[in-house]
Amino acid sequence: MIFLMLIDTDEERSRFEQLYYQYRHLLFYCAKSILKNDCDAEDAVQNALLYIAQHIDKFEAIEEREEKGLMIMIATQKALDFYRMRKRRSHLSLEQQSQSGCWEPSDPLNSIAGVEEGLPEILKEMPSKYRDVLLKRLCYGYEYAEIAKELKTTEANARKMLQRAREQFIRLYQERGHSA
Amino acid sequence: MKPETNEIFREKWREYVDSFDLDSIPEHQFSPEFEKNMEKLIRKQRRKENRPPVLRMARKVAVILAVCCAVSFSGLMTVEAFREQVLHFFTKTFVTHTEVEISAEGYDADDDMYVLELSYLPEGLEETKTMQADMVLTTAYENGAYFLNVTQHKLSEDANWNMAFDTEDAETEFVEINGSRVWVIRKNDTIQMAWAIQNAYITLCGNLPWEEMKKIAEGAHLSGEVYVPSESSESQEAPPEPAPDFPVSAEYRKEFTAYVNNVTRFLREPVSGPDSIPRDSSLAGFLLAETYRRGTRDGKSYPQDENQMYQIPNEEISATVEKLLGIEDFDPADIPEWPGSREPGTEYQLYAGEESLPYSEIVSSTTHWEDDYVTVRAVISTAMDEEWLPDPDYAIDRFYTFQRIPDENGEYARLVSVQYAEEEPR
Repeated sequence: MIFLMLIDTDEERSRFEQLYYQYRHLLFYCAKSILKNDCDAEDAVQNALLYIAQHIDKFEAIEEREEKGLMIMIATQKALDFYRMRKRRSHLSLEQQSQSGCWEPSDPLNSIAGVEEGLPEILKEMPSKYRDVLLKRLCYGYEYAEIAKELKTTEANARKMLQRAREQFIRLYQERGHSA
Repeated sequence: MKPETNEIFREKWREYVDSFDLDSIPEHQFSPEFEKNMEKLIRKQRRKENRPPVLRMARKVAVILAVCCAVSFSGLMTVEAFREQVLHFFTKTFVTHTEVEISAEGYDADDDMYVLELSYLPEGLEETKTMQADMVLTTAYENGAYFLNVTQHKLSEDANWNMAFDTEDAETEFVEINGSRVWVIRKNDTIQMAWAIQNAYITLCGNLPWEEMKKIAEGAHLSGEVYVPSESSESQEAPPEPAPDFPVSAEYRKEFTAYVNNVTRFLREPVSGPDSIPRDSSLAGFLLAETYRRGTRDGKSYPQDENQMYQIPNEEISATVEKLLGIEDFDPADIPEWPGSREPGTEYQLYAGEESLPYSEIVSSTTHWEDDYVTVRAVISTAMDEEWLPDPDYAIDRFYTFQRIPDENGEYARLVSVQYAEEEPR
């Protein structure tokens, strides 16, 4: 890209560019492990990068480990969004449609391998939506209003969801013989 | 949740993040489409993050480009003939395009026009047409979906060049290629490049990827061979300059978008003309929403009743019908299904406000502007899914035709027809 060659010092590259070049393969790896094909994975990575561009302030003054974690969270989230959208659009066979009540779309997480498999058991058992809101709130400092906006719901509902997510985490933790 | 449990959650997540070793993640070769989209995003982010900006065109500037020709310049000029050559660019930027007038000093009209050679052309790109006129030569290339037009204007002190570049919603910058300052205009998939090489002003216009356009520009040079026009093409007209889009102001486009949002929200059943629109609650909803929107846009305020419903006067509704649907003497009583209940004889209808509008989202649309008409093909989602996103299972595809009518404020659009998208447009 010519303009990057003309102006190529770290200070002059934007923060977004730095993140892009450092993590793009990681983003792709996370997305492809869920979506299983290059085209969809690239689309999901694009969505993730758009999200990152819109929330670039989250990446100011954070450690590299947190930065990497945020990237993984965003890539996984966008890939799962894409996966669900793709699944909704897939054709239902007439046979399945005629047996009312017999068929339900399977939870995407049941058949996902790859990055999700590497999650610690306790996090894997949580629904991804609950896990995401907890991650955003506890690990990356998202405000309730921000979480509500992303979930396209009210702040009150977002707080409720966080409360449920916390309760579920505590329950799972206690089931493993720990006190919360 | 106790602080200790919070920390346990964070610790579990960190364990997981640490398991990713960036050095062992396989590298992926991203597609050209992806790289192109990333280029755009990176440019946007640079501007947003206030990094050294790429140079922009000012509203009206005189840019003086001094080009000093040295003796070593391909032997085109003897030492005795050496003069400082200066190009003046006068630009006027409009919403839809930028006009550039190039005035040359030190360029001898008697100098020959030299053959422009492109030492690099992408494989498969074939020359399809050459058009020539006095002091200008255009060559067109094509390869399937890709095209490239190369135009060479001979610079002369005796004549100024006036050009128009389509810069509406385009990104512009200057880059350096082979020591020359090249103006680059990017709009959608098309890239235009313009710069001076010796006594020629070169413009490239194509939809090839940026890396290819750059390589073509890098390989462009004037040979020592004098260009001799072919006899058969001597009588051809000068190739047309890039024409700006049909002028539609950005402000009006915004207004039009808001209007189309209401049209697609309420009027989805195909009709051959406004007279065929059923006089039902959908029409009522459209008229209320659109009358309110226009009224408040123009500074009006509408009184509210005890239920917070806005009172929209019947005469304004009739005026909306006449303007937007071309139906004169419309009587609101023709629609039996107005929302809300009113006392008999009241001269208004009740509107619950924008929060009450049914869900509708244009997922994708294509708009074509012509002299008298504008057509919109829209894919409209009418329901949200559990993720609160437009549900593709509830999307419909429609084709709207509007007549463009000038008025004292510029123009407005009158609905002509609604069709299923697969039908032929009128």
